[in-house]
Amino acid sequence: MSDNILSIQNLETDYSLGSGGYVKAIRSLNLDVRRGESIALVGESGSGKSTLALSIMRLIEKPNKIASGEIIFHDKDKDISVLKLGENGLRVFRWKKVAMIFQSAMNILNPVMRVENQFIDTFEAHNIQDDYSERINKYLTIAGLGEKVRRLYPHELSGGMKQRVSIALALSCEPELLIADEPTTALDVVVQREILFELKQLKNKLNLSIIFITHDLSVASAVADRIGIFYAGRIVEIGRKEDVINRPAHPYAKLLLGSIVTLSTPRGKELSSLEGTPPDLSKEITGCSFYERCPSHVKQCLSYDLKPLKVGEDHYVECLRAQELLDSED
Amino acid sequence: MIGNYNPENTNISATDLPPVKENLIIQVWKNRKARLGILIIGFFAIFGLIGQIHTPYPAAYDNFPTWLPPSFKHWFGTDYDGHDVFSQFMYGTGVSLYVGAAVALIAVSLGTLVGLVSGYYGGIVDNAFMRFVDILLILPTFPLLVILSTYFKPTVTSTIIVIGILSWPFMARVIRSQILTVKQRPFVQASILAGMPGYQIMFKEIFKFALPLIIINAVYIFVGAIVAQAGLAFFGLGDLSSINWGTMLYYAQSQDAVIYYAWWWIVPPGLSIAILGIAANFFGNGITEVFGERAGEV
Amino acid sequence: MFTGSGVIGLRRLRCKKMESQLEIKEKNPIDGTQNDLIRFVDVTKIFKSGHVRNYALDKVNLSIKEGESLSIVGESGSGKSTLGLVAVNLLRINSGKILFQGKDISRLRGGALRAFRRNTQMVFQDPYSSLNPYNTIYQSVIAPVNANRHYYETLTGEKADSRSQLRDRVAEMLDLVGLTPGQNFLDLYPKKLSGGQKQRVALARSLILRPRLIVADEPTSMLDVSISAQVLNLLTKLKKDFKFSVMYISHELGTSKYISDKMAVMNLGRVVEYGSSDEITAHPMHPYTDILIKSMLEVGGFRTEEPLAKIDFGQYNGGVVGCTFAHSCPFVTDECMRQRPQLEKKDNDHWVACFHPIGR
Repeated sequence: MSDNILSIQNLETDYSLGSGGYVKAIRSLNLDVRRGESIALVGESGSGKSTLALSIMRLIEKPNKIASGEIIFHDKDKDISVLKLGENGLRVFRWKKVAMIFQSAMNILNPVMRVENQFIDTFEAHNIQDDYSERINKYLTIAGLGEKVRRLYPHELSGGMKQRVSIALALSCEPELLIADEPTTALDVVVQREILFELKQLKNKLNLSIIFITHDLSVASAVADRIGIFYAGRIVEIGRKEDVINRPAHPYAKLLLGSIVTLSTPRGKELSSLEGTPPDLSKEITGCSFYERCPSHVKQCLSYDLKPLKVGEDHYVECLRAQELLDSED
Repeated sequence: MIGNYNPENTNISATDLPPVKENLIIQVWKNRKARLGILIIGFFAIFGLIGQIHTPYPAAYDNFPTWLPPSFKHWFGTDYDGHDVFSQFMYGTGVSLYVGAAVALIAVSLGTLVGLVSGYYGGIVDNAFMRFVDILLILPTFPLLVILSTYFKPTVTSTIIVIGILSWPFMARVIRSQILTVKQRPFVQASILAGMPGYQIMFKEIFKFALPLIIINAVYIFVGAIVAQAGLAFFGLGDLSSINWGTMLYYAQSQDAVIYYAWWWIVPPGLSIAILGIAANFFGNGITEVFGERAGEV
Repeated sequence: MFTGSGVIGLRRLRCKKMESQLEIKEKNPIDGTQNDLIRFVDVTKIFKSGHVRNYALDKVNLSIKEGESLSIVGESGSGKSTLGLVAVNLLRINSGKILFQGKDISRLRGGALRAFRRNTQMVFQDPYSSLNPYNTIYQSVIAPVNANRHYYETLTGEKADSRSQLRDRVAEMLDLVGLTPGQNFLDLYPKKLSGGQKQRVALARSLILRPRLIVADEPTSMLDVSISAQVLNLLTKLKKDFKFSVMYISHELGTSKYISDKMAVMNLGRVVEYGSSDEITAHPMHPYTDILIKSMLEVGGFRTEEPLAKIDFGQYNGGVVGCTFAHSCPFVTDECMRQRPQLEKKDNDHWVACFHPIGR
């Protein structure tokens, strides 16, 4: 069995602008998700992180498309090339191998079906043999809900409860990989913490691998073993949580960390902020995409071939000056 | 950690283009669908306008040989009574379009005003207006048109009033819905906070959102009124002494033009109504696109 | 971009002295003092839907002094946004009083209400719908001036009737909020601006009449973190230069503490804790506040590994008998279910509404 559960190679996903133009939302992306790990992909709006989730699940619809690349799911005994799967293969792949939790539970819950029927729907599509009722109860409990939720309709549930139902649904076919796309953004602080805390415990209990997508570095640092920083369709820094948080190598990551306000941020301290806007992804970008906004850019950055450079144990970054800047900080 | 980043050096760039106020009329003209619609409607309008002043032969003159097919002398032939069909058609276009325009004007003004006030002020005013509108909408249009027509002396003006009364409620409803959605948005609250009085907010901030709907619906009501008037005339309920598309069709039908294979009498008015309808659609679609572009996420 | 402390054309606002009325002295747990800018006295707001009465605000007592910032912290349903709306008089309260510089403004109508509006302004959560997409930036920012011409002239001390003069003023304002050069932005439509830039315009618009109070309702929650930081920096700077009071409404404790030195924690329409932000976040007294703080995520991970009490407010509409937190409080007693705890001063600059505050 391979160490990795998912390997993404040179993935390119395009969004159509109509009249022939394309926005390259994901640009030649490479990522290995290890078995049993929880990896957080952090990026701001438009960085491409949600697109990656949709690409893995093959939810990119015409006229948008996955232009090129490979997504390999390393199942127990064989490798599955996700991009080559047909209808039937996809049905097995989705939910039994990889399941997804969306930002808004409304995206996954059918508003005119009772909760238990949504499970039954899923089970039938996946040829689950065991007793449906038992399974439903099992996963509702795992997600922190009581049995009486079964007969309710989604609109009768609070935001937190809806999200828990989505989690239960996602786990109910016992996938190996879970993709969570901003699952707690729309929720209150206390509920968010509850759900994240429980997700972390679930991961260990159920032996899951999780890809966690978020714009919030604090959320990422709470749930993840590794963190990947997304910018302009690529992962510009990736490493262990402690390393990325405490010793960020990419200038973007540094600015991002500096702009976070915590309870210990002194009042009146000027927060680091980013000027300008992310690059236009419908145009060709040569060299480093962060060049315009980077406080440490130099001429060579424009001809950088974006090969990841190692700056620490299991810590890689796409920045020419990263090592040099890190050395000067120590 | 910020390194050698100097906020003073960076210019927040607005855009690369110089700030130019985009002219609405030019934008509309540039849009292909809208342009096509305008051209077609405009053609008919000019055609009809000229027809009021001058036609090849006097439209009422009826001493030509009857039932002549189209020829160089009579482009659209002659009808059962010896009128030159082309002259009738030209003159009649003006009358039909005049009816459409007049109805559109009445319906749009009344409907927009009621919709605006009802939507913005809400409460009792809204309730009162909307119940009244509901009543008018429930009544079946065409039978109502027929009944009202029998009460009024059939003239072009009375037809306009009758059709106008039945067209404005729909407009009011449409405008009111739009106003209701817009009213909730924070920028309206910001206008209230700025100290603008209610009527000013209504006309200066919110009215602009109704504009695309007004224009599109005005064109639809325009065409709808022409069809309604033609329909009424066709059934003999209009002013039969007036010359317009509807009366032409009435006479054509009652004088059995079909049996005489007199297609040249039936086709011009009938086809024109259809073409006008299509033009209205094009225009409506085009306008929707233009306004959509202008405001981004309106 | 940030033009430093040398602000062009800025005048210290002199608020017109309002007609004197009897100053209403109420028995008020929050010490009412002479330099209260705005004071909420037993403010109650009820929303009815069918026969369900939702107590969005339930006898709220709070005050903000001149030049002070107060953060209102709470989760959804706490009433914090409603409090912001009644503070700027966009919503009428059902009972209680709102005193602005000693005068009750909660019953104002018509012309008097419109005149009052110069003193308070609001910045909204969604930058995308805060600006009328059919208006240029200039038109959006100049709107308050057009509605208060005479007042604006007294403010700036000169007749402002020429269009180019007004355009210059707006351009100055845009420069002050970091949109430079201001002239270039005047004739743009909002769709050409990013979310952060739109919020800056919203700030420019709200400050052009130099109000005494700005209510900011979650102004950064729809912006990316790095852009949020810009807006927060800007707000801090503007506060210093223009010296207005701020009511900062948010569900984020971190930014709330960062912006304001005073904080009020709300729960189902009631203020449960109030006082200095530093004090409250370091030594929370109300069990709810304690859980809120413990639920915060820090860069680095969870603040605590202990399982926290599960809270679900979904089923409550406020207006409950007893404490609003009784259903989930780990320390709940009989008394908590029967009686509503009142806000009481327990320490220097620290009030709490609880029968068994933590650490007491």
